Amino acid sequence: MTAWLFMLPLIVVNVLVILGPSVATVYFSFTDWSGIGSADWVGLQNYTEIVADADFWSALMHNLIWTAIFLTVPVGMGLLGAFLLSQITRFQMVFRVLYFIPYVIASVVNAALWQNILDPTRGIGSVLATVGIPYLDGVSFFGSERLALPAVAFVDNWHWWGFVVLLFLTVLQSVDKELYEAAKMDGANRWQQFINVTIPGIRATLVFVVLMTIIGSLLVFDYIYIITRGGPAGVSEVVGTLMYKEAFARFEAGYAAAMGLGLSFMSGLVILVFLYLRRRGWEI
Amino acid sequence: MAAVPSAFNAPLPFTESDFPSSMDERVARQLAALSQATNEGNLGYTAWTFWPAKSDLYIQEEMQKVLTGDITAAEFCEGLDEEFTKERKEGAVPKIIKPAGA
Repeated sequence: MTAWLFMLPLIVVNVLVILGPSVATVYFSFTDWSGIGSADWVGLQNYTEIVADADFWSALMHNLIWTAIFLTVPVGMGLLGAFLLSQITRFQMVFRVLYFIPYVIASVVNAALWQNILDPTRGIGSVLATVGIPYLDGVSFFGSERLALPAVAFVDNWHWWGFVVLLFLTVLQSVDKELYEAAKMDGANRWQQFINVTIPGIRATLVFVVLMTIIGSLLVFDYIYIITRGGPAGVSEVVGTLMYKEAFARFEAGYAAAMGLGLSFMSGLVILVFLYLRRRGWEI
Repeated sequence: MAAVPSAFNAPLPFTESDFPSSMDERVARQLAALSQATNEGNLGYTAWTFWPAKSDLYIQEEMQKVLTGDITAAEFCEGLDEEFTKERKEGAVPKIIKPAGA
């Protein structure tokens, strides 16, 4: 009883800010609610419209591209950075702090920094042009149809990868040093040690990072909304930004709720796969 | 380019002489004319500032596609017509406020 009393404040907060809005979202996804006033029941209409909505599928494709970028670039950089950091003892703390700083800076600040750095007329491109390297001069990274999505992903990656390094570094330090010694005695080179000792040793954390990356990539919103708002011409639109526009610019809150549930369903599927693999005996 | 930005149209009384000489004189003239008109009570709202929500977002989003060449201007207008007609039928077009003295 005492335990329940201690938990009560947390339960109340959770009911108010998570359970309540979740149930409301499920209900409103079956209505034509505009976000204000009454809502009329429309059954599955929102869902059938989403299936036929080309903008939704285009945005979802951008989410998948985003996921592919974040499953490779920051994870690869994080692994490499952590592995290299684990090999040094002097100045390791300095590098750890330097890598982690972008993670603790607010996304709005990070985005503003890179908007200035990559500005086509007064950014790094024009600075390089003044010293005889003209290739990036006038390149509009966030305004180009071809570059906008990878450019925003680059900025988000810049803030994220340092955190991944520290996660991997922490777990790397728990890998038994004797395993490396044994591998060396067997004639394993650095790469073979990495594949056969390091990766198995950090597998649980690696899978956790992959899981977080997939879910985070499905829910991505902040950097894209701040920098490009899904533009130009929708090339960096993801479901999160599309949903926001549906709810707060087109006042189709019911439709946006259905989109949100679709995203939650996909995230739920990823977690189910993870749990299923764990049940099957995968050490993750 | 003028040293003083031209995105300045606060409803304050001023004349061309109030602007610094570094300002583009065409911008200064335009702002002074707006100020004069406002002070004489000649203000109002034009119809195109009153798009309903979906049409408004359509213009912002789809115009980019016209600029990037993904759709033609005619396709843009057709889409806008469709969106606006639907919203007008739904009664979502905001009432246009009559300017003073109209």
